[in-house]
Amino acid sequence: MTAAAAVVMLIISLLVVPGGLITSTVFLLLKPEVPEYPPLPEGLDG
Amino acid sequence: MADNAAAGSAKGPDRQQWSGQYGFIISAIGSAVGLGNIWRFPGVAYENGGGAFMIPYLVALLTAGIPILFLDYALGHRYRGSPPLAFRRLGGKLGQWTESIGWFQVMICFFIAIYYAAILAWAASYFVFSFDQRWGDDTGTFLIQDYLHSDGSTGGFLPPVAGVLIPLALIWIAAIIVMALGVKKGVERANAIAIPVLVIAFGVLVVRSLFLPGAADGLNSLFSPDFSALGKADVWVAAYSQIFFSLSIAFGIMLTYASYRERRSNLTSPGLVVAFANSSFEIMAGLGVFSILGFMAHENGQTMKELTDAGGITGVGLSFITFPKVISEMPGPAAAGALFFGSLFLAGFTSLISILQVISGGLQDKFGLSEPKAALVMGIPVAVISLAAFGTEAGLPNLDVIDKYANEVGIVLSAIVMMVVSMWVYRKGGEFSYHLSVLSTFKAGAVWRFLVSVVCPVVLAYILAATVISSFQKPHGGGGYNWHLLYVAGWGTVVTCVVGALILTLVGWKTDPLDFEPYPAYPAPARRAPEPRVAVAATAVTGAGAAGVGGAAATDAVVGSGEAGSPDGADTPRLEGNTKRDDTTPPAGEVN
Repeated sequence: MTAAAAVVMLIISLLVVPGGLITSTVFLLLKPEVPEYPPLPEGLDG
Repeated sequence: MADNAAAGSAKGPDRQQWSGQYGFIISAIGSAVGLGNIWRFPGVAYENGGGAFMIPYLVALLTAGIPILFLDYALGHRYRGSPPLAFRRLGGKLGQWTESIGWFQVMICFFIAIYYAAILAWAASYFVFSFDQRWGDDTGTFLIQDYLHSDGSTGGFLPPVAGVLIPLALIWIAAIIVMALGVKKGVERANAIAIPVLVIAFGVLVVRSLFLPGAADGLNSLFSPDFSALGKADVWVAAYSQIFFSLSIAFGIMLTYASYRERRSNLTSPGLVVAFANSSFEIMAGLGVFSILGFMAHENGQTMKELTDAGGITGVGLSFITFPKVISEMPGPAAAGALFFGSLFLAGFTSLISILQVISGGLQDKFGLSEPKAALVMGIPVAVISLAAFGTEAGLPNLDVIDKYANEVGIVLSAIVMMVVSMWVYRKGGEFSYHLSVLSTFKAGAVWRFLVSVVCPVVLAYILAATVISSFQKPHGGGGYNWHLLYVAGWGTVVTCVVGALILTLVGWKTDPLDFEPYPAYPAPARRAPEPRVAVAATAVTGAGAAGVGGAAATDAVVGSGEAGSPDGADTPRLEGNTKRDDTTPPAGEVN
């Protein structure tokens, strides 16, 4: 029972944390780096 | 940038920048992934409910770690400065004192840097020792007596120890060179090399450890949930503390790193990647460390409980006493030792340069120094103090006490003040929420404002109060340290940070820090058009007590019609200028 519970917690940990990393990375790659708005005003450094 | 002079006169001077999004992310991960990921998380998780600890840990990540990380990003990126400059601009013309918050963070970084480098020197030495396992069978005696030459309780400045002094000096030379090369060629390049090597080296060690005899027992003990632990306040405090210290938040690092991003930059999505990458590395460290501890218990004929009850499963004890012992028992001890201590060194070095960048950035901003000059002006004194305090026989007690007070008092205090001043005193919840959301693909709205305005300050205030009360009731070190070490090196660290911050605040700026235009304009121009009716409505909201938290966006949008960048309205004319440039601006209310 304890071993089974440990396995469940391990799987949950792996799903949430590395899963969160994969999801956020995919989200980052799929979306443009910066939304269209707003354009940089002339004269401001980048 | 066509004209630097023009830029410097009204728009703020050009600032160093990362080469792009990848450079920023890899450097931020390099900062977040440090010694604590490897030597702190596994033991803390085990001692606080095992598998059940993951629940408060994830709650803490989502309700404190990521929100405070976003606040750091908002401050650094909107005001484009190291902590002193960012907080000076937050305060505006009438808020000069806010600059001292930034210098307080710089001072904390100074104290952390001087001992953090010493641990790297130990890791570098043990990397070399791995090849002949010269630590022998009694690894505790080897560390304390043979390597550190420490009596463990005195503190202060005592005779130098060559075995520590030499690697420590080399580390400082390397760190100063990285600083002198600047953000893109120095910090970013170092991280771009070190982090992939770290992940591969540590990954090989973890995979190898999973196949050792007894590894399953070790993992079973780490992940077996004790759900009764969830009812204990200490467990939740441990989870919030772990997330808080692990992510490098609230003492200037992430704020400084965000200030080197381009003005038009996605902030929140990279922040999520950094936060989850940091936690992923902690999970990986948990798998590796407890597999190896399971192997050790198996080899010694012990149960995991007997092994862990003997101590040495976190911090210096884990890395420099327990691990050398188990490495000697592993097949291929030289390779295992090199992978472990090499990983420890790389994780620590990338964190060290992020800590130093806060100090260097502060000096560059305030005194107009170039990167190489700032590296020398900062690096040489810091290195000398580090060598004097930690390259000696008193290194271990000095390190232990300063680490305790700089982190558990200094950083927590810094975080509370940062959130209260930003969200309640200057009521920037709406503006920062707008800044994070309008430039990013992941929106930081009312929930984020509530977390950094209410939840995080309350939780951290509780943690700080518990730490301070405990420090008097049960002195750190269990009575093994002299009182003068605890008060001079311990509380003295905190007091020195405060006094140093106030003194540095009084020194004049090389250029006017307020000669600056935040971007994008806030309040959003389209929102500001129908002034009279909206103003009355939102003022009523303010009076109803929505201040600063969930109602901050609406409140700031109108209260800020004379305010925007600072409470005294200094930025308003410039914002009007921006209004005319872009008619596609969405209403602030849509940003959520």
